[in-house]
Amino acid sequence: MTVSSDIELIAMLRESALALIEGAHDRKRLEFAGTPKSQFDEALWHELSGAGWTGILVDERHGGMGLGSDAAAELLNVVGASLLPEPVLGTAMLPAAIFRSLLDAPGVAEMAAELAGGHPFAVGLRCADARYSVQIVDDTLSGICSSVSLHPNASTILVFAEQDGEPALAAVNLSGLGVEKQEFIAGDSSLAADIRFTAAPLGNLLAVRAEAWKASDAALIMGRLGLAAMMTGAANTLLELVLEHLRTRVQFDRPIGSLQVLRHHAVDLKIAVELAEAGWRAAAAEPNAMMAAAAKARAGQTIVSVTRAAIQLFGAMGFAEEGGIGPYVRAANWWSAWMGNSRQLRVEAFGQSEDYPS
Amino acid sequence: VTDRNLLSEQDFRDEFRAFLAQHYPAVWRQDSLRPFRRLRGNEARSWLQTLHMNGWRAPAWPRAHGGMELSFAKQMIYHEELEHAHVARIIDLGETQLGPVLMAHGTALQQSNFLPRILDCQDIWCQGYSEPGAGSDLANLRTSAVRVGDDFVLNGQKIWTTHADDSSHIFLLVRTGKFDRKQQGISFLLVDLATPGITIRPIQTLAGDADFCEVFFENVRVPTDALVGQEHCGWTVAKALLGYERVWLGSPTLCARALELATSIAHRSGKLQDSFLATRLAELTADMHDHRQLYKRYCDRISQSGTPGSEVSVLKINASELLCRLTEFCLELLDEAGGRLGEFGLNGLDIDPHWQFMMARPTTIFGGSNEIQRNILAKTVLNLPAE
Repeated sequence: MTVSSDIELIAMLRESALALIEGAHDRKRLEFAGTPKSQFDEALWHELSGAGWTGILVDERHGGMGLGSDAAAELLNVVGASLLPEPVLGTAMLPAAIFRSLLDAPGVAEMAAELAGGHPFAVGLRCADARYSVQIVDDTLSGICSSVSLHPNASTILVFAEQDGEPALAAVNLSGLGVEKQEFIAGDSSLAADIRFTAAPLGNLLAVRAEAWKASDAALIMGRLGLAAMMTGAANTLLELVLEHLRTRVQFDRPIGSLQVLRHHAVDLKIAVELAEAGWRAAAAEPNAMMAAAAKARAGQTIVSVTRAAIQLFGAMGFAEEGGIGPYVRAANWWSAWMGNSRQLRVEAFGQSEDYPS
Repeated sequence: VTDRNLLSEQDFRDEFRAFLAQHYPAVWRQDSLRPFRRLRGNEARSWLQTLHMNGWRAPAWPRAHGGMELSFAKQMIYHEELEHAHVARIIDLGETQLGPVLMAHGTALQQSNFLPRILDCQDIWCQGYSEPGAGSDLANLRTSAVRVGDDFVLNGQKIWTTHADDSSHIFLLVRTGKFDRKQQGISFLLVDLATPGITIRPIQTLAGDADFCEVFFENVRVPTDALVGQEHCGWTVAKALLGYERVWLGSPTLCARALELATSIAHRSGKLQDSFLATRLAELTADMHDHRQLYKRYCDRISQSGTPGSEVSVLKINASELLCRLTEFCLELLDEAGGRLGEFGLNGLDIDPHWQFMMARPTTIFGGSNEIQRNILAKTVLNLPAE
């Protein structure tokens, strides 16, 4: 992954993203009344792709902005802070990271240009335990890609699979023969699916072996860094809501934020958020597999603890949908689990073999 | 002495690393037996003098006062290399605490008298802040200094004074007056421990050593030029340093040593076959990694702004609580052997699990207990209403 290091440009990007979301995204649409529904907003997607979001990571020669994963993460931090349900990470940043790592592969130029123009792609990542659940045999795919982020306009899925024991990457028609989507609504109110391939025709084979492995790494690094940035953004926003509640809610003739047990609880949440913030920013500056996994593990632990504490700290109103905590809790449970939960990621990044290191 | 600020960061690192490899005695390194080893007394003095003679002493002090005047980035490297070489800790309060106070608030005479003697270790300073009735509530201190002619006469008691029995001098906070705010009326004094009327009594701790002392003052006469800064304004003089103390207390070094020990014990005891314990170790390793990122982020911020704010309490809380978790994990990995006292061998590794466990205990207490740190953060960083 590359780093932009243009601090001013990144700051401008952040400002314009905040302004765009402020005007176009109403959090009311995230309310949950018992029946899960996707909250995708086509007009908003056009607006944000028009603002260049889908092309941020896309190389300049393919019509994108050619910025680094730190710029993408900065944007995703804003996406997370506002709980935007449009699949920016899953159907724009993930495919862009793949295209960026395979600049000269056949077909990539066209797809990357489409993405920069606002056309989304689905991505079937390799599993969190570094194995592949899809096999390529005789030019057909079989197996299941779990937890794929979807977009109504996505017509192609980029699938990481195994061919003759080696990694491979194929671009497959999402509505083609032998492709079956088991759709579900993810916690962030976005549409996702487990996708089953049954001898589905292999579309375009984009990369094999080392190249496919590199693309797979790039996607996972972007995905985990992006989720870390999103979760920290959401945790920051929610913590501020909690603090404002503690400052203003009066019981026993005083603000409850004057009670030491609640003050100390709030400080612990702040420490968690500070760790998450330091983690994703360090990973954005040095994007590699270990840094991204560590950042996502920390941010996941943080958002989970902040959301669960928020329900408690808001008192009974925390349990009411109109209290506004619900969307954070649901998004936290999805984002912290997607692409590996905190425990899995820490074992992946820091687990040691039994042999004594010499 | 050359100005090592002129070196590139890499050259600076290489040079200090080579110096430590050549000059730091292997027997004083932190190891599996003493992962948090401290040097004191003559050993400490001898090492500090070696640093001084080779131009590696007082990395943060201005060159005008005989220090290295390193950029904050190079100070970070300096400390990273000490950690890398397993150099033992030294509680050198003359350099880290008193020196900066004198440079900011001392008279020219106090500076020229005391600063050179700190650098060459003719004087060894300890810090007299805490009292039996003034620990977390430091401003409640009662040791009194009354003006009698050209002298102050001191009466009272200090406690938790680190290495007072190795020290030649003490800088202390005393009560010189009573005002509405109890932070007022406190003064900062410099006292020679050989002055008649001073008694020092070491305190045995749960770790089995005696790093702390009580210091008693009975009609101790010190000249009024022992005063640093304005009379009654010692709180302001001392407070400026507490931020730096919390940065230092929040550094990842001790946790890194504890994790190293936990990792060695996990391997030598065969406990990585237990996937629950292997996962716990991976999680603690991640906690260490995360704390390093946090520490770097805060230090970068300090290097830009120049002064640590109260938010650095976050570092102190996180580092000390992680240290406790790590040292507790070592006991858990050892099963029944986790309850043994003293040194023993574990498949070729010399360890003293009780010592490392006990050494971690006070880190959540000293330098302002973690409860006090949380109070500070709630008020100053989270802006929660007063209790």
